[in-house]
Amino acid sequence: MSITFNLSKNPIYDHCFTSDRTHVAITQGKDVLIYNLQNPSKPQLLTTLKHHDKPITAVDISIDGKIVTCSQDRNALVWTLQPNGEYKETLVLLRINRAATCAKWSPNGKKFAVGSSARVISVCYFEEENDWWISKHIKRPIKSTILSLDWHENNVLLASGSTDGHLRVFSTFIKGVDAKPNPSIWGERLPFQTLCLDVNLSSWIQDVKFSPDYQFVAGVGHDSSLFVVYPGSGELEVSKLDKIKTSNLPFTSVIFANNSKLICAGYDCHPIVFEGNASQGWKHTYSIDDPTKKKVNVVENQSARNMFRQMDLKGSTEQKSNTLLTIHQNTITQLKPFQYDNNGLIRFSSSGNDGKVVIFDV
Amino acid sequence: MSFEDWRRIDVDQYDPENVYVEDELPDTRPNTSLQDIQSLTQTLRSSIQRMDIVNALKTAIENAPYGASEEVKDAFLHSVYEVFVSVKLSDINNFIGQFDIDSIDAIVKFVYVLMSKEWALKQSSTLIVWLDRIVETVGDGPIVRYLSDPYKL
Amino acid sequence: MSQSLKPYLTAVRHSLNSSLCLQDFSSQLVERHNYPEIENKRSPEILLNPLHISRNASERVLIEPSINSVRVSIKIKQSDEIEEILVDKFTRFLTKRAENFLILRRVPVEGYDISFLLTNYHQELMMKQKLVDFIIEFMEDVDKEISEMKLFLNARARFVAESYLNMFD
Repeated sequence: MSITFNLSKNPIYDHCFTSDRTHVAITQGKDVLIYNLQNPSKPQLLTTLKHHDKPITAVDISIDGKIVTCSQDRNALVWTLQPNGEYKETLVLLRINRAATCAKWSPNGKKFAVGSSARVISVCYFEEENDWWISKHIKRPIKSTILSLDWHENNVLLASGSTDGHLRVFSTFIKGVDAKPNPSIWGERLPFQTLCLDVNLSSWIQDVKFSPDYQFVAGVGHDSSLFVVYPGSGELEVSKLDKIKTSNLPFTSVIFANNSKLICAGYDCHPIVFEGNASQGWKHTYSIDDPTKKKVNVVENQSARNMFRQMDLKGSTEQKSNTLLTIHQNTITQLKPFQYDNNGLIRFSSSGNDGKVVIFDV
Repeated sequence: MSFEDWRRIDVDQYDPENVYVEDELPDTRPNTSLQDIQSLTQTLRSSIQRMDIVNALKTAIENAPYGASEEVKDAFLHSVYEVFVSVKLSDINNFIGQFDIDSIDAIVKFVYVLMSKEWALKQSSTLIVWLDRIVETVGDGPIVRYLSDPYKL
Repeated sequence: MSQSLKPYLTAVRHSLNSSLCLQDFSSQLVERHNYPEIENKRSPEILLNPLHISRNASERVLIEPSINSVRVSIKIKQSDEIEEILVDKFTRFLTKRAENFLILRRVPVEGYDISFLLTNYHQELMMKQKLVDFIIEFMEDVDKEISEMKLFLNARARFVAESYLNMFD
């Protein structure tokens, strides 16, 4: 069963849970709010992270509890939990001259990548002597705003989706910070800024994710299609590109449940599951929180007072429902994995423009 | 003394990074000539006379002159228009069922492009019925895909 | 004639439903700015193909979508000069109060009578279904209102003319 947290009246652009899943950090305009969710009906506001002066576009938490936030004011900050329970910010030198749009920690928490409207990905690592995070830029051949990022488990490969319609995989190897990655299907020698994959999918790539075995990538585009890209062994070679056209509205987020199942959500306000594999292709199998399976609540015996009030206010006696049939009342903005078992993902969390965070079962 | 109005010079136009270079599209036919379109029109007209609308539209979709000159595209659109208006409204549903999703996307594209042309407005009610029936059967997918379609007619 | 109205309105509804998928998008060209990209068409990659829906030459709708805003322009049916004047006065009445309307644009797009500008902020604040319903109802009601106004106008004119000419009887 799904658990709903009504955290706010304003949109939540991004959210992330702590590793023990008791606390969630959500973006609320210029601040990040951290809630304690041990009591599902009464979320408790723990702290507010205030610093940015323009809306925060992304928040992510690393494996060791550091929080990175990035905002439209061209800055990013890394917040570390102090012994007294407060969060202290550390300076990040992104060196971008436009808004930051997305931020993701690498799996080991030593680097993070920030995508921006300046057509640049900033890969940041910590410099001990000055106590700040400095960045290296990936510029070529990105032509437009970066909308989404995802890391490979080797902390070097980074997948990105952009409004120029391209899904790209870059190497972000930084000498001194990263260990040399093992050769994989993505390439052998991987100096910084090597392009390992570049596919033109013709519509804005809202979200990209590596598969759980890191052998292929999935992306969702604004033309309401799901793309699954299998790389070939040659340089920049694509062995298979599956485009699954759907008749839903576009998706904004995708996560993998296991190597043959993935979940998408977006402007339709409910998650949709696709299953498949390389040989047979991918197909839509079922929807979670499906509005077509819910019964419309018929309003019975409207009182005369309400009827006249309705006529006065809206000029008609029609009774139209004020809420959507799905749990989320507005677009779902982000999906994040919540709980795994031996076979893969069993629960995931979603945040939406209606200010809710909901935990769904797969 | 220079009388140039310094404040109104747009410096950004000289910045090479600001220019967005669109990707080259594969599968375009920039060299289609008017003769090719005329022979295509003949093929389509004979299909219409045989009431074989499905084949007519499939031929049109395969031979669409993306990337060609404006006159070629205009001539092509005129012939596609003939195909659409020759269908009786009650038959449209049968025809829609015989197309696969890629063809339906292309048909929706033709319908929208035709509705933007002045000369097609006399019969635009037929085009609207085509659009409605397609969306009833298939959903909003083709419209969303037309919005992001880089192959322009 | 009203038989073609319903398909026209459903076509507009579906087109609006599909184009109203907006998200917050900061400007790529000017730092720290966040404006509706459709009003300043400087970045071609974040604009989408415009949708024309025409019932006939005098009734059309143009929907121009982009990543964070959609512009909906409507051309209202005006079959004679009286209707042209009435439509002009009606749209001026509305556009003068555009601030209270939230989604109305003060100046209609070239070639159309009235334009709406819907941004991602409107979609976050209000339900998308209701926004689409509003625009469709608006299109339906405008036609009815204009014909009603024309009828009343003619009735008043007839009354005035009669009482004036009675003097010469």
